[in-house]
Amino acid sequence: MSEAKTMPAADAGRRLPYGALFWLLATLLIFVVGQQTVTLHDQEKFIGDFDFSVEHVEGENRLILNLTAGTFAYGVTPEVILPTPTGSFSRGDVDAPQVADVLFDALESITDISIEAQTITVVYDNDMEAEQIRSRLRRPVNNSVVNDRNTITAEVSQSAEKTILFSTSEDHFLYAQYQPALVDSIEDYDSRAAAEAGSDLARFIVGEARAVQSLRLEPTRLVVGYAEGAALEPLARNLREILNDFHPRASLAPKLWLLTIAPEIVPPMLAIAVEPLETGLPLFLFTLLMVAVEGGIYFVAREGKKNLLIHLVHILSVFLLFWSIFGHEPLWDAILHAIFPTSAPLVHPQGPVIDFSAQHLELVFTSSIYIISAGLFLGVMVTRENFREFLPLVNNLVNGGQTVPTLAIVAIMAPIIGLGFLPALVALIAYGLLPVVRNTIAGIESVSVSIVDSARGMGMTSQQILLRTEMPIASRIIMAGIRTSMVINIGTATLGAFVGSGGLGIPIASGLSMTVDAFILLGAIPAALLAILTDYVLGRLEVVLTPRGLLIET
Amino acid sequence: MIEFKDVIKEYPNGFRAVDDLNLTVRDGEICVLIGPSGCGKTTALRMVNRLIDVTRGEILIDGQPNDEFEPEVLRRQIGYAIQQIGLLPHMTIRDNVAIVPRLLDWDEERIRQRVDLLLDMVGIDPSIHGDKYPRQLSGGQQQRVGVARALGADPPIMLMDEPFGAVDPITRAILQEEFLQIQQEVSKTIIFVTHDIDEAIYMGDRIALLRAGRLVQYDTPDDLLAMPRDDFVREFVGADRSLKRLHLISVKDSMMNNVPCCDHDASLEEVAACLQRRQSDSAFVVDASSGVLLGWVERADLAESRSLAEAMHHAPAGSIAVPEDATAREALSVLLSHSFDLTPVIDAEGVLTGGVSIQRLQDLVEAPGIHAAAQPERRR
Repeated sequence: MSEAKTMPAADAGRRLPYGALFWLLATLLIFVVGQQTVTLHDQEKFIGDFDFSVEHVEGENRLILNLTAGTFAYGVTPEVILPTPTGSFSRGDVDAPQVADVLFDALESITDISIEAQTITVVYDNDMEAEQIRSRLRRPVNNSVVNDRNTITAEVSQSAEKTILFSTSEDHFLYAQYQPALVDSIEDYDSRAAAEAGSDLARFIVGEARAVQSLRLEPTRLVVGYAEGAALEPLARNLREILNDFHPRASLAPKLWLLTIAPEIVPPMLAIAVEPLETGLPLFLFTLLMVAVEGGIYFVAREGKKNLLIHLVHILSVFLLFWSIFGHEPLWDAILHAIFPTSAPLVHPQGPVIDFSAQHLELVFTSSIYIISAGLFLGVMVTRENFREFLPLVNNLVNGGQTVPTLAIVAIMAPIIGLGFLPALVALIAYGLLPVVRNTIAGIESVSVSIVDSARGMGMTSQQILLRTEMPIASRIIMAGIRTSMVINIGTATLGAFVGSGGLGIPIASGLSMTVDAFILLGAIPAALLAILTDYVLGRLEVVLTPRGLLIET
Repeated sequence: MIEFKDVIKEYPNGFRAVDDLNLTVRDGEICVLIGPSGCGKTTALRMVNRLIDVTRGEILIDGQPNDEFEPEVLRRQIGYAIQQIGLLPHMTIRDNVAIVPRLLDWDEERIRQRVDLLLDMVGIDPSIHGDKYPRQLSGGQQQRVGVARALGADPPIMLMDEPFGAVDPITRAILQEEFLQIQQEVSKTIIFVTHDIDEAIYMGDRIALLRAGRLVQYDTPDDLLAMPRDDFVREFVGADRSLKRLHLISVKDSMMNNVPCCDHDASLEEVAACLQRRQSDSAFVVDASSGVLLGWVERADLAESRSLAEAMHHAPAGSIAVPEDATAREALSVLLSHSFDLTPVIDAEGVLTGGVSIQRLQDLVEAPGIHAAAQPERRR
């Protein structure tokens, strides 16, 4: 007996306070990262992604668009039209005009660029498909000129090898530079006429949207009065497009939980400088607090006395840390720039990593809820006396679900239920059901016949046998199945991007199609981190949910 | 009282596991069901609490057919212990014992008292082991908890399917003995399944010997051994059935009170006269005042000695004698290991009270019907 009592103490003595060490490391890391100034060049962004929640003011013919992504951290006070730069330039020329610089940056294999009034000739020297090069250069060219994009064509030169010609049907390319400024004041126009006489943005909006009768512009909100009888849905959609058209560059306000970053907008480059330390301070303090908490747990609570609360503290804190890192957009940019020093646009145009991650988790959790409830139901059902004959059938079905490639399920679903969230959800459920069902069956079957027999012999009803005997004893195996299913699910959910379900598959898919390796990593790294995080969280939950008597080794 | 009336269990494939069983288990008795594998003994047991349904016939519990109850309600009134024990590994020992009381919605304070009482009764200290989990206990301790759990809600009837089958022989013997002691206190009506004839003879008030689903003989252990109905029974109880019967007879019932003995302060002449009178080669020596057995003296030693003290063989009473409450079998064992024709019997104080001779044992084994006297004394 005395042996058993001294064991935990000896155990605790040997064990290091891993929790506290982990948080200490995190604190140091944040301190070091916090010292770095990360500079983001908004100019290098692609098409913006302002998004709004639309609110309709009843009886007032008023529509309020609340900004939910991006900020109006711009004002496109006049574009400065630059003179058309003509001439031939090669890599490294100091006096190359901006458009040439952008193109050189976009593709390392470009050797020469010559610019004339109606044509830009790009010569490259590697073995890439001409088609690929053309698609990769199109966007930088479009972003560098103000011309209507439809008038610009790109073709592979027939006369010269490895040459791509961009030409415009207009008189000449129109080069311009944005002169951005923050919208920080409120502009209020009570009529179309007033708006037409107002700022560029106001003029643009009323010019494009005929139904608009009055306009109020705030830094994060747009209030629009509209004409009687206007169709609201199309109007809201139209306004959203107008705003994104008007200023195609995404603004880079990081969405963080613990980190706050004050973006400093530096015209004309529109760079965002991340302030050191001050910005990381909340996270820094949080991790320091966790060092103290972990240390306290280590010294106060002895091994084996860890209760539910401590496990939940662990789970929550690690999740918050991960999520804060996910939300640190400048950090992602810095990391990717460190890996790919020369490539230009590295932060994905469609949104910050945290948005993709959130969509991803939404997909994973929604499907997991269905998987777990359906899996448990099926597993429990086929182990009941009356339904045992269905066991082989269910086994085959869930096995089949996992054998068919997810992409195939997605492809089959898409024509039937269309694109978007739903087909991806169905595919994930079909794919993730197997581990849960199989482990539920295995867990329940692992309960020895004699235990069930004695439970029945004591007068437990079937329901009591299931809930008080079979499920608790099977819980560990069932949890392991759920864990496996969810971790696989996170990887599989990236495929959802192919049917437009959103998630971390989007950067991967666009990275693959645009051959931008950085985008692939931008999806792959967070997906891997999410998988690790989920595995950790569920591992903890497994320990919490497994009855203590079952953790004792015999 | 449990009554099997023309009970038949027939499976869909036509196999009859239990065939026309008629059996009455009286209140407070242990009825042992025994027979070779597949004889239907476990099936018969499990039909009592309706873990298996009866095909034809009925089982009455205190005169009431057992299918008049909801199965769960019925089972909660019947203790159930099995060989594999079946303790729930995720519950503590206390919670395991409390399962049936909880199913019956007893209040927690009553449950706590009952659990502690039961654990104490089966020799498990609730303050040390109560909050442990089954995996932390040894096999023997788990069996004890299994018995305590079966007694959980103080059911009048208990069904025990080889409850001591999974432990080593020494532990099993201890558990059997302890269980008989508990049974003396609680006096349950018990159906006990075993395949071990020795266990059946030791534990059973009555033994029902089954073969291929049919009852072959239903008798007290002594009658079963003394009067096997047919060759099957004879073979089943074994060639050593006489020895087994000795196990059922206590020394007290088989001893002669009149044995050759002399006081320790007697003269050599007196001893010689005594031996002569009893026509015996040896006599036991007892303390003159207390009657405590001190040793023995042999005729051959008398001639060369000057006093009885010199002639006698001193021996601690325990090494040559058996206590009164021992079985005849133990007396025989002592007889065989010494050269006496009598095994002395002593009481708790060591006083010589009689002796058991080989002749006497033979007479007992050959005569049927001594059980009436022997049976009640068997329980220690």
